[in-house]
Amino acid sequence: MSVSHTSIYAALWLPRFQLQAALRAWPDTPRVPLAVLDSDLTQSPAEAEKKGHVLHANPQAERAGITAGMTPSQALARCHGLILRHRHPEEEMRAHADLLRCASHWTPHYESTAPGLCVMEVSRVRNMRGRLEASGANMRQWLVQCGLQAQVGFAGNLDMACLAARAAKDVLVLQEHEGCERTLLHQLPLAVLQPSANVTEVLQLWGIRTLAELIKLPRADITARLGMEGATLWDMAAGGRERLLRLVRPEVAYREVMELEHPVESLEPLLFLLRRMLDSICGRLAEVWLVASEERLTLRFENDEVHERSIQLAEPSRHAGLLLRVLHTHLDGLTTASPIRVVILELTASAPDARQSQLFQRGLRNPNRFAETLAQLEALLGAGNVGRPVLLPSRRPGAFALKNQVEALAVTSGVLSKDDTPSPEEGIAHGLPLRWRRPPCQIRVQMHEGRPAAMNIPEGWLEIVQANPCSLLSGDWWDCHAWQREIWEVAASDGALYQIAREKQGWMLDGMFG
Amino acid sequence: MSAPAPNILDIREHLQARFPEAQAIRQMGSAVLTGIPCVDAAGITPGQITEFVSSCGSAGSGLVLAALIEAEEETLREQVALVDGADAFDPRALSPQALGRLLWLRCRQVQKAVRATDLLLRDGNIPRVLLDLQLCPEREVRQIPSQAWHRLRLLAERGGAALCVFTPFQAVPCARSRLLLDRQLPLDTLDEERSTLLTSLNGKVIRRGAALEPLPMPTGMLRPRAIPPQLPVALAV
Repeated sequence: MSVSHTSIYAALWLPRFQLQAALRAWPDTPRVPLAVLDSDLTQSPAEAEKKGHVLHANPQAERAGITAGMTPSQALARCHGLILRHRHPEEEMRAHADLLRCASHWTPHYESTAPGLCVMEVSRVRNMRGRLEASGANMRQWLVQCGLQAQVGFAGNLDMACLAARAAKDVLVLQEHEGCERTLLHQLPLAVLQPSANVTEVLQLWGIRTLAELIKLPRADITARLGMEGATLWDMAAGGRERLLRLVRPEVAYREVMELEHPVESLEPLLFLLRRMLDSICGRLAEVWLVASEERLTLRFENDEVHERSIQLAEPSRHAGLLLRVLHTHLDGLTTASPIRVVILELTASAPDARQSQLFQRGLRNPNRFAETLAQLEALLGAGNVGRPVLLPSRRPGAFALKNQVEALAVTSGVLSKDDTPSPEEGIAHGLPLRWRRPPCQIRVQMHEGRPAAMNIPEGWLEIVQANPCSLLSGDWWDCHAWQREIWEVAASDGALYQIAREKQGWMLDGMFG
Repeated sequence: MSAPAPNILDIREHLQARFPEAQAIRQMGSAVLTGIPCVDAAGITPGQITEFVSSCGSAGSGLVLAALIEAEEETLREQVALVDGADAFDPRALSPQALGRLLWLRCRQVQKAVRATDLLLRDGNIPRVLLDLQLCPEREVRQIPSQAWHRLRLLAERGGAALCVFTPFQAVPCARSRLLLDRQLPLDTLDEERSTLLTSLNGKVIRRGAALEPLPMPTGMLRPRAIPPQLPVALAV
């Protein structure tokens, strides 16, 4: 394998990655024998003692005979002054992010291959071909400033670049006509290919320790015995596979974070800050022809409490004034116990709405303003008291729910969804509608010959002059919330028509027909 | 000495005198016809308040309210808002289509209902707003200051929304027209069809000001759903 005229790959590898990350997390660790266990901070020392194994050891520890895979007891028995550390997953993530950041300074074409390993395609980087070693040294130097020791390998193939990085002392450029370096590559242990535990065990039983020993075996036989994994290992050892980079594309977040030196206590300065943040984010949205469909506001207070709120916009927009008004409406009803220390604002980007107006439906003049008004109405009347009524599949009184009107508008408002379909109600087109008395009112009723003759409602006693035959309704008999009602429609002496009902707990005044 | 500059009233009168047809079209063209004789006689006009007074409980104001939510102006379905002052509305009284375009505001206090109506009219997105105070305590309804009603009228006028108020007595001083429903309906009406009930509803229409007599409808403004020739209501100007 050689560096071809069309492609050059560079691999950045952080040897003893977990150890390096742990050392970054605890920088005051003295220069003594040190090893990192494959346990994390969540495990107790006793658990780590039992289950943990040495993952990496520093050169001092290696000189004392500590190797990967040892139990803590074995390691401590070998080396008395050995310091054992847990892995530090958060620091590992940060170290890997630094590695990727280093790669992104050279080219946008890079992949995050494995923890502590990154491969990039540098063929199109200007003036790179003639000075690969110098570039590799620059990369190493950049990572040293981040507290990371790296090895860099260059090759004409992805897998070979990875192997070159592992074989390199500092920087290794794998050239076409230099056989000695290929030999060096093949002397690498099998572990650099990171085979699975089963395959490793089998290969060890066969006495295969290095890549060179592996590629001496026929590929077909390896495949027959070890399957696809064996074939892949053989290909990687023999010269690499032809595959494309799985490019890292950083996620674009339309987000602004502001940590305040002087905490904010009132609405006006907060709105001023939010306006600045919105202007910035909306500008970025405008550059890529997107609009915001949702606003997410997070406020962190001095007493460490957090307020989070997601606000769905009725109509996507990137008009900063409008977005601020929506936030203003929400913040108007907010009271806090402590001043605000951190403000985080994030907008969800979406494509501009290309929906056609409905032919037989008048749309709203200003949907966003309507959503704002609905928020104000909800603040005034309480949650659950504003919206579009949806009937529930039950005949029990009060079997309805109020749905968010803005969500209803987002769907086609003329078409009812499946769950909106009410149960058939034969009485809709008949008689006067009932005006309910909410909350229900318990009354006393006097019966005469099996029919109600008088009732005592809060306004006083009323004589019942006429009553329709009662109707019986019941439901939910299959569970503990079973209900049954005996419903009477009556004309009272005050001239009004009432609906009364007898339930388990007595007579109730349902309401008045009107 | 120069003549005083004409004020807005002078200009308005001058324009009315010069272009009477335009004024007639503006007034008649915006009237909402529901097909319900008594309601059309009262005339629901965008930008104005119409009051439906039902001094006795079961005179049909709830029926009118349901009909106004159901009513569609030809094929253009409008969003309707119901500000329910006593939280008494029964959603089962409406068809699924009508429920789909209804915004229901459940209030427990008259003061909050008026405030909610104010917000809705200020918003200007809903062209038909119904404020139901029929079952609200009379004392609370009487406590609504007349300035509040005037403010609602101005907001309705500014946003072009038709505001219909259902009250147990005459409570809206600036209503453009008022329909008095004072006939108690018997128990048998609960079995009658609503369309029959609506056509047989009896009441009395009171209009505000003599200048609001029905104007001759221009030929181009005729609508497919015509008002019945004989209205079963008494007009009291």
